[in-house]
Amino acid sequence: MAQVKIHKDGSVECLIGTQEIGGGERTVAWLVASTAFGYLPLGRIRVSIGDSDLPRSGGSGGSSTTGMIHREVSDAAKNARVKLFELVAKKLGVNENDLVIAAGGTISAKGGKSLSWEEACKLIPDVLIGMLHSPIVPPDRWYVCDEEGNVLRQSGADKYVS
Amino acid sequence: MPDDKGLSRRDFLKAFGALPVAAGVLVTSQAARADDKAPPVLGPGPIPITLNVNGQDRALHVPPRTTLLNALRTHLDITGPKEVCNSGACGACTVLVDGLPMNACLLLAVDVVGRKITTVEGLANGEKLAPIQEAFTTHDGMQCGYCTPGFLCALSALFAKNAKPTGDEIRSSCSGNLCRCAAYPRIFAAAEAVAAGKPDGGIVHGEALLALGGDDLKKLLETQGVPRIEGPDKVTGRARYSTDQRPSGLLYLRAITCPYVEARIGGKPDLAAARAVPGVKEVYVAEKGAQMGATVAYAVADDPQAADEALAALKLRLDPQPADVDPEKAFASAKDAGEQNDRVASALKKADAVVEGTFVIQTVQHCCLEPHGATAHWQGDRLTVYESSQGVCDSRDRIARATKIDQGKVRLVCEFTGGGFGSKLSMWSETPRAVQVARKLGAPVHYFASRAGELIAYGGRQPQVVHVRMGGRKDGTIVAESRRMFGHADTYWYDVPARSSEVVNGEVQGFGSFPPLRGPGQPQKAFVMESIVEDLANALGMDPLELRLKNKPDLKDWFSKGAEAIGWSKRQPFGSQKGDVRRGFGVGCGDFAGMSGCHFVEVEVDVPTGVVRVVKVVAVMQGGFINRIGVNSQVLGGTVMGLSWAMFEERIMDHATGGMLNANLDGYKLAGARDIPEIEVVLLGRQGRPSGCGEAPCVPIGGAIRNAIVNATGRPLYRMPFTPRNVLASLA
Repeated sequence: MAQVKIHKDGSVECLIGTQEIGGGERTVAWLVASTAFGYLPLGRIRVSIGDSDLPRSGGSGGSSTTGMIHREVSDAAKNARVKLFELVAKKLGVNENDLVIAAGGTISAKGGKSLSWEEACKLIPDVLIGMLHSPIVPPDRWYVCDEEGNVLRQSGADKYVS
Repeated sequence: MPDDKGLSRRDFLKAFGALPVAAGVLVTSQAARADDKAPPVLGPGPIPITLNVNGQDRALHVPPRTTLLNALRTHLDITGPKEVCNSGACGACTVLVDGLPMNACLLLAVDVVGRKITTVEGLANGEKLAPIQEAFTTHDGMQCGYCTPGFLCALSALFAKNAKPTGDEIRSSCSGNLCRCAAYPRIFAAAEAVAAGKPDGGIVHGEALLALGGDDLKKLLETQGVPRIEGPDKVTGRARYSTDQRPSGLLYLRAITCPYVEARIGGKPDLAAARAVPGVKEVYVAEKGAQMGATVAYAVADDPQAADEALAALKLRLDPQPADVDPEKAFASAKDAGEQNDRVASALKKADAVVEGTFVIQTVQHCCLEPHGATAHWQGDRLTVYESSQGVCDSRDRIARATKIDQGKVRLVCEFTGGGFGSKLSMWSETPRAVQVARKLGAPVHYFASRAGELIAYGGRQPQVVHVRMGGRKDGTIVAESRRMFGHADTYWYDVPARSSEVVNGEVQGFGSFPPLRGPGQPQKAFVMESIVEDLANALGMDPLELRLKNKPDLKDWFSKGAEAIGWSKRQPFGSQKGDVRRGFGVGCGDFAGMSGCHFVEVEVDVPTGVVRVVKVVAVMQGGFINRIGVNSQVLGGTVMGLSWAMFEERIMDHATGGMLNANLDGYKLAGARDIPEIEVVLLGRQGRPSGCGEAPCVPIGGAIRNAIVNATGRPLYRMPFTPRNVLASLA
């Protein structure tokens, strides 16, 4: 399980109770979070791992850690993104299902209306927290997204916790 | 002879066995004068000394037996230099003394007074990394990073005297440093980039990397990947491993691990002498005896060397009890009823060729450079544990259960783990003991296994003895195989239409516990299978690639890439070479957790001596990944670890006493800088959805090396590791 927070200043925090055993686990969390937000510049992301007080994640065995971080961080990031899209949709007066995030962080609707990452994040009252409650959930039960992860419609918003 | 309150310097050094080092390596002019005249009396109590470390004079008050490593780590909280072997075998504590690389574990602090000491913390110029540090970050010259400070100091010394060293000089300069994750190829690449005057190798890093986003970052990830985020922390010594955490008032627990399958305490340990060592808070000795890997005795003191001294003062004698530690004997004594499966027996009978052999696979160890253990720190009823862990949340839960503390009151912190390879997924004796002793003594307790303890208790992989018969048709089709095995190296990878296996597990002790070791089970299976398949190809007079493709056509793409990269066309037919020095080529395949692939290997065998040199390895690996730089390092590291198991490593058990004979890094040989061949990685698969990549690359390599040796010598080889002794035995 991971927690991904989007701050008003456009920075992102990624918290996950995994560990760095030499395989570049921190870096994976960093890259997965960046990718979920249109390849957000790496300097705007902070990653915390290696502490049991962080959201629970599993042990590093069976070559599973990168996959686990990938799944958990992208789930949490996509959840945070849904919440950001809701704010953007309201601001632009579009349907949130029509929003996509492009490389560079620009969030745009089909009709051409868009907000930059910074403009979108300014809509955040304080912080947006994305997190999946359950560590092992079939992805299709919770959200719908394309291969690139650009369009997201999650199917059980009330099941997410923040 | 001075009075009983103190020792002369010479007597003192003799007493602690450090004289050869001090005399041979670092005789100070002052000390030399002192030896000529009246010897000054030092200690044994604390004496004031001043050390110049990283340009600063630091005053200390320590007993003269304090090593430089202990002075730095315990007394000055400079934790870049690591304590790994305490015997000068691994180089993890390498520091510069007047610019020369030295093992801080072998030096006394008093002997380097007046010298300029530089640790990894002192290599950078303020925030600006030294070229070699920068090169390590961009070339991924590290994995867990525990050995990194030592490598950096060794290489810094090289560059200080030679700005453009050759590849050979680079390898020589760090041949005293061991890296268990086997970042060697990337370490050499980093040093070569410095020698070429381009430390960063043109790889985006630092501020430029942090500013990178959008399409530029996307493109970078699709093409080359990015350097690891924590690189700058690991190359400056800022990275704090669990062994480096130092809450105030810290006590150090040191233990003696039972090296025998079973031992009883002999005589009467001198508890009074142990307790009389200054700084000692508690001493414990097991009542009767212990079993292999268990703690026989421990001492807790305000300084790790005081605890070691207390353990020495016990004059503990262990009497080993009889034990059976020979798996080959167990295998040989088990009854062989012959093949019971009629289908297999009949298929083998009808086969055009049948090959057989009894493979012996040794026990190898995890040998993490950061030992198992933890520092436990109670604050009221809340507990913080700094454990070297492969699972921080799981470890926290286990500690809470073991100590019956509410889970919410336990916190486990592990910022960096100095190697695990499967052995730090479970909780061992150190952590709960550190927790208990810390509670009892009312102070934080630092308890990490000694190197001997690490090698004895954290067993590694089970020994295997496997007898295989395999039959095939003229066209290369495998038709049947029959196995009897001590262990579990069963059939693998290829579809064998008729097969049988019988597990023969006798009573063999003494190989420690068997926590999973990187790719658990697979390297052994792959070694046996790829070897017997190779022997079948040789018996049928077929090209080994052709025979494999006959049985597994989907290997074609890998084989064409690998064969081209290794130069397979130069391969001479099996057994056709006559000279003393022969070249061999071999292949092996395997998989683990989503990643699969093959190794192609070229070796040079010196027939008269049995010395094998692995010249080149091509690793063709297929799997998805997030960061190309990271997965490339994993493939290299897995390949070298598998090579190290195949070529050098072996837990040696004394059949007479049931004891481990080589529980140290002098006797347990890990691949070092001089043992690393050229390795080419061919990575197939795309960036995005990751498959596991940490383990598959250590699976095929053992069989591939063996097959290359066999190709050169023309004689089958059944015994790992491929040391001169075992290779010569195969030629006899």
